[in-house]
Amino acid sequence: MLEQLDLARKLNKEEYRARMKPLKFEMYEMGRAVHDSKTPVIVVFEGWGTAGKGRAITELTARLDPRGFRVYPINPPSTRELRYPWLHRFWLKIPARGEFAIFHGSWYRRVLIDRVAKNISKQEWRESFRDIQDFERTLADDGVVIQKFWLHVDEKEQKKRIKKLLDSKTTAWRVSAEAKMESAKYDEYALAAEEMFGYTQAEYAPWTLVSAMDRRGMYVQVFETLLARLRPFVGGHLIDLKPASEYDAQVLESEIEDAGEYRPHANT
Amino acid sequence: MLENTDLTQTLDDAAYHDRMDALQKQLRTLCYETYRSERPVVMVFEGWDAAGKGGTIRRIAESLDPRDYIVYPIAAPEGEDKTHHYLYRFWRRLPPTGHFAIFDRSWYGRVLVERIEGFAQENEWQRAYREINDFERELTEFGTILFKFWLHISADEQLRRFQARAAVLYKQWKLTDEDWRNREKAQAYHDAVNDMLLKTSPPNAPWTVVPAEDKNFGRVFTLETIIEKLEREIK
Repeated sequence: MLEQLDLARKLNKEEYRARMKPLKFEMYEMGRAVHDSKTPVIVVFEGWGTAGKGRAITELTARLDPRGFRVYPINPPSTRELRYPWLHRFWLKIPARGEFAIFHGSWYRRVLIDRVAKNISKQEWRESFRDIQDFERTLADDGVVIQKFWLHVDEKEQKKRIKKLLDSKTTAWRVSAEAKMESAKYDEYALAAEEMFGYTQAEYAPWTLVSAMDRRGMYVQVFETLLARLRPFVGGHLIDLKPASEYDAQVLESEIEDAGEYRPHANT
Repeated sequence: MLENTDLTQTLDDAAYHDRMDALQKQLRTLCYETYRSERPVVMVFEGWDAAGKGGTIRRIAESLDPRDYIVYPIAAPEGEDKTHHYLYRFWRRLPPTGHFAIFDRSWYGRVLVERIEGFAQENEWQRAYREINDFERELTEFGTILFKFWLHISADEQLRRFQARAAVLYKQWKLTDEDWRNREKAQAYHDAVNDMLLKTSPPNAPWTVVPAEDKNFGRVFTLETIIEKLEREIK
């Protein structure tokens, strides 16, 4: 599936602003609509290290009410977490009705990193596919809206980004051992990802593959996809923002526009 | 399935006390061995009102190390349990390796009380059989030792116990109006229980129907089942 992505897509600043502005506004409204309609939402971000999972989450959450979402960074399981069935730690993180649970990394690490790094046996990761299907289907049947993103960069671009980060002391800390491993075994990891899409692509829990070669295009696609996914579920709770005055309109616009714009260590 | 249970079996008091003493000592030792084996244990107790779930759990709990088990009484969900998927409540109460969790009623409420009272829509409780089988499969694949007991008594015996509860002051708290209401829906429960036993008894997570008409017999039967399986699994 990955080779079908248009990696050459690129948006210039004007195109980006024009397309992103209405999306930012709608996302701002969508946060409230999700709350009002009591829709539980799971957004999964997977993809290559340096592809911009964290940046996409920053861009997204800047438009949401902090009371309405939780972001979960997923690391290797702790000693404590290993004392339970493997999905236990994810069940503890499922969203309440009306909340977003946003995953930076997810249960899919089991069939990606854990598989490639041989942290678990072949039988274990093979059985995980069924556990994942059951998990997502069980939640979706209960009304949880699930959207999964794979942020993609090609091997050359990823190696370039990692090198750039490593070259500077201020950014080198951001390259984890896992990101290095993943980069060193790019082909093996890509194969695991392809197999993962095959087993876990579902109408109730779709994967959307996103080219992250260009950040602007990536943001636009993530916003467009998520909004389109959510609209049918929130129904009439999504309404157009109608500021009471011109002044209100300006305040609102600057709030929505500016949020998340300031980022130290920006590496573009 | 319930019809095949032989409710005529009894055990006199003298035999009961001897046997129970021995079983509880065995269970105490097994508790420690379970802890060392690093396998979690989950016990589910379901059954008719007044069938003896509480009394049986007490006989088990008093033979376990207090540091190693938690008993969860399950009534209507509240707070966080209510705003999430119904299985969330049980996932967050699972025992860590080496520990016991004992559920006095359980996730099976979905296909019993929720089905009968209409708290779950038909499509919801119908698909719950699969969800529960998936859930339990994930538990046993991890190494969880899972017990599921249905404590069975006849309708006549239930009535005698209700009346005894109503008559004896220190037992009155155990009897509520809801018990009488549930009793009127006995046939609906009967069907729901049979469906449940039929649809949620895969080889990795079988039900044990306990003939609990005679309290002594039921308790000894339950402890024997637990000990037999723990020994098989751990040693």
